[in-house]
Amino acid sequence: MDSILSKLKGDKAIWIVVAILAMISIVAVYTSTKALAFKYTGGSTEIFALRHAFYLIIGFGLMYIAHLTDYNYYSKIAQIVLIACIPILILTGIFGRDGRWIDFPFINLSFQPSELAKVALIMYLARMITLKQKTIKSFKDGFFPIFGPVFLICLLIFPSDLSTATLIFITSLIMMFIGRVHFKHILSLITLTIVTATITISVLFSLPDETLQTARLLTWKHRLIQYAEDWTTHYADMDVSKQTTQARIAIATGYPTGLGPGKSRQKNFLPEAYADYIYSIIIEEYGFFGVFGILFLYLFFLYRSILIFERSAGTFGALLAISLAISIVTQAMMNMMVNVGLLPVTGVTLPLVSRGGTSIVMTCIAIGVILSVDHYSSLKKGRKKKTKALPAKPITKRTNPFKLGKI
Amino acid sequence: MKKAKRDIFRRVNLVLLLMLIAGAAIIAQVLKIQIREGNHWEQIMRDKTRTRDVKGERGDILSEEGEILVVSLPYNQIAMDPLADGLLQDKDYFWDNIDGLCKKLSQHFGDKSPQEYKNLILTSRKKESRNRNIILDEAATTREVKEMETWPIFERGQFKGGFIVRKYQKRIYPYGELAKRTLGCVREDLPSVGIEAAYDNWLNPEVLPISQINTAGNNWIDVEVLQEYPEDGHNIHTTLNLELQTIVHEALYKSLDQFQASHGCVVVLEVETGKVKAMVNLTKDGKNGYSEKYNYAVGTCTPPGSTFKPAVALALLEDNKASLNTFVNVEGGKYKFYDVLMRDDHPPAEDEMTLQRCIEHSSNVGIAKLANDAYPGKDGARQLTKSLEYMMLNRMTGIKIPGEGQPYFTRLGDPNWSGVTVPFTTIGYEVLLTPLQLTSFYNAIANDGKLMKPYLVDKVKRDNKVVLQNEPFFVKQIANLSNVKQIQKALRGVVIRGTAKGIRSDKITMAGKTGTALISKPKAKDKKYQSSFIGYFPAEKPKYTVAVIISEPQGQYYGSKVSAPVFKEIAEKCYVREYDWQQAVNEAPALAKRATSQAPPTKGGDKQDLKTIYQYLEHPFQDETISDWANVTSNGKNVKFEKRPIFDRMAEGLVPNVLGMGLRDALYELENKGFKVRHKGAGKIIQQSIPAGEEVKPGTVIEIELG
Repeated sequence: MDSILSKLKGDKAIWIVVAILAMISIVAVYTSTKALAFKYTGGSTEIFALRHAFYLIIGFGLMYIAHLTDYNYYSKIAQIVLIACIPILILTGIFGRDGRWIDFPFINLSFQPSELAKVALIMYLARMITLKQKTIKSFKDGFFPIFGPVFLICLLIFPSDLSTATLIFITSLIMMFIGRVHFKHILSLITLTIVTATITISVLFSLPDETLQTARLLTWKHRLIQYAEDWTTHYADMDVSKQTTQARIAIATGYPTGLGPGKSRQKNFLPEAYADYIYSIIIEEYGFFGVFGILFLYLFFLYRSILIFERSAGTFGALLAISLAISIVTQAMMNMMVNVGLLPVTGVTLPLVSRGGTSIVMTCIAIGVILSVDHYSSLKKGRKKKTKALPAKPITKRTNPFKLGKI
Repeated sequence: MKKAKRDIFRRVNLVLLLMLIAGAAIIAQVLKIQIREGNHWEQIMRDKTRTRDVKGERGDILSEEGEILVVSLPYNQIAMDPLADGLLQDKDYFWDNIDGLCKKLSQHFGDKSPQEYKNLILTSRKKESRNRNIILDEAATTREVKEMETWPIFERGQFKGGFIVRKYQKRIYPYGELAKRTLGCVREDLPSVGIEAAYDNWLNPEVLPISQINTAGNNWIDVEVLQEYPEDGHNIHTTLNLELQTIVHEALYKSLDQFQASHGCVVVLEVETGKVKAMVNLTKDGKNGYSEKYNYAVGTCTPPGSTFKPAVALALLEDNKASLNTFVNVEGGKYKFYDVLMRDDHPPAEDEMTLQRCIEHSSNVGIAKLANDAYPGKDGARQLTKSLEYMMLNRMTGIKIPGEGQPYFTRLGDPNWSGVTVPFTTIGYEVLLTPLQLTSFYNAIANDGKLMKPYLVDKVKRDNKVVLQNEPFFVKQIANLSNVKQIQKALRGVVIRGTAKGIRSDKITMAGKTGTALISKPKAKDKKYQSSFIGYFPAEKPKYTVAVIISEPQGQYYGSKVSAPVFKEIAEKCYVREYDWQQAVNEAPALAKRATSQAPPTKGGDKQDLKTIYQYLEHPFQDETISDWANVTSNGKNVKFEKRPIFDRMAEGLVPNVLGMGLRDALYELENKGFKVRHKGAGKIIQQSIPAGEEVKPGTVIEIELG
């Protein structure tokens, strides 16, 4: 055990948080895939849980590799991947399944390029914000080079996957805020977005449904109507056939300590309970422990990432770590808010917990990068201290094999 | 740079604060849903969601040779809702067609006139006597439902025409009373019985729950779709032989009716294996004669009476206390043990009798005196019990249907033990055994001392795959072979020259023991007896052990007069049935030809088989079809094989036409071609799921419906 722990570098608390989330995830997915299992395998839930566990193991492997790689590498990798993502996203949008997925037919796996683009974009933004710190308040040299790529990626993703696009956009806004982009620019951007959204919504409601049907727009219209209805109609008049209602029933049934593991009833009524609505199912089965436990784990994860930010050496590393952490926690918060009905229904998953291969793998890599920042900056600090203590030894002259030079 | 980072750090903490606020909002919302709205959501869950069970079909119970003894058939309850939305909205349609519907109803059910039906429907429509569920038929077949769907008004279905069809499964016993109690039934109000109860878990079909929600307009809709149908229950293949069961049932019925007995039972065991080949239990049922009401064979413990003597004799032989030739003074058939007088039913011819003659003539005094002397005092009593227990007479047979009676012996130390317990035990009182337990013991005698566990279920199958196979279970050798042979000799003597010499047959050799037990209190005015005969046949190489137990016969009560003739009838009928016991009588076809001057009537079937039969009978026939299946027309002399209009020769791999065939022929035809067959209903095939001439892969499941 000790030897395993000693091989894991970086913040141990984050490792533990991730391990707990993964375990909750396996149990929750195992119990909530019942309906799915009946449909496709004649009742064997194990296949889905095993598949999910398999993704988690892959994710942990990649996380391990990622955290042993000097985070400075990611600066370069992010640029390459982000550029590569542009044609991939375009092709997926045209030829992929639902415009979101690339299927690998023979190995029975599918890949969601938007997840990759999301992580690459965040890494790229961390780099740009670091590089542009001196001119960050200017529109041309600060705001524009940072927001340009965000706009491009969101533009490519949103036709097929508005939820992910929205998530990326919100995460980017938060990053711009912490990256000290001029507040005026951010505010104008938000205003502009609200105006655009208002115009889009009014267009949505003025066009006939038949026209909307072709481009998933109808779904969005319905979701908006539904969300509006959820707020405006009294809860007693809500339609039972809606998933928001079913999610609320699940949450209500979970009071106070839940029905117990695997006892969820609502998993049969909530479509794809193992994906977007897994938090409701966790609340139904574990009650308050589920509500607070999951929330605590993500917030604690953010807190530990802030500590990494504080103790890391350079700006890039610090910004990289905190940006990735914020993107994960933002996604989690959005998902939970959708579950309890604070946000309209979006297809945002609960990172590390929901079923979904690409999302799990990319989240694991992101956490690996955060840990790498912690590990390598402490390594550097350690080295500096050692050089001070033993000035006679020519360690400083040795080239650091991990160092890439100036970013 | 340092300054910038500090600024970023501040902003990051602001983001953390933002997230904490979001977290607090989530918790607040959860609490709102759980506490403020909680009752409401739980109410919604109870009222608006439910699960619906989708069941497969319960398995069938089959005879040894595969005849279906119990089967689930789909039935339909037919009801009418005269206030259905469609009938209220489209009033003209209703009034135009109501007479037509009532005419059909009257024609179909024949219990009411059209006018009466019309009155019934119209009153139900009135406000004061609203009835939205007029039940018209409790058990309509699918075929009838199809017909009803063409009637006026009903043609519009449930919502527009008020035609309500509720499907349900009903257990059907195609052979009526035959073995009904042994086959059993599953009941909700009373304990379930028989094979149905014992194998309930196997028979039960898979049940898959489907979640449903109640949407606007009070419609329950499924929220999930089952991709796979739930599996049907397993089929139980019993050891019961339908033919034997029929023979036994009829023979027992006749006798019960003749003697107006209260009830009776017969158990037939296959000697070598212990298979229960037939089990009949008949209870007097008022005017209806006798019916299967209670499983006496398994459930009731009664004093075996004289049929217990062979067990005591075997104990005497085993313990070297006597041999068949040991003489005993029978005291003229009357003897007092202490103050209790014991008599022989049949006055003895001699003063001194051997043990063998005591069995043959069923001398109570003889056996009792021999045993009383052989097992003196408390030690003796103990030893007798031990010897009987060694033969497993104190054990239940462990037959797998619920309710087997527990054997009873009055033992040393029991409150009702007395000095006369030993002599009275030897003549089958102070002992309680079920007919099955006693039959099992006799079966061991017939089987040269090898006690086999009786069993009723041969195998459990699903989709033609054997899931559970019961093998004959050898319990133990209950006695030395030489001693068992001695008892066999005595039992043979019973039929040759003893109490059962009345049933001697020139057709088949039998061996057995009569028994007459007083089952009412000894001093009661109205004495009630139980007559029994337990034996086996053929005596030289026993094949079946049969016990015939008849309770409270009127007029006659001796086992030799009441039960033994039933045994004889069963044995003789079995003799006719089992060809290998007989010498071949009709080796020459000429015999058969002479016997039937007319061509035997044939409906039709596999042409090759038909040819073989007619060629064997040397009866001329004309073959007028190239098909493998033929219809036979015959005026008694001329036999013609004609093309069955619907059966055509089919190329390999194509689905044959089986419409109009019987089940057996259809199964043969389809399964020979490599298809899997699922069938429903009974009668002739009226529908096949894949039409003839389709090219489908072997192994495809074809569903056929009989009606």
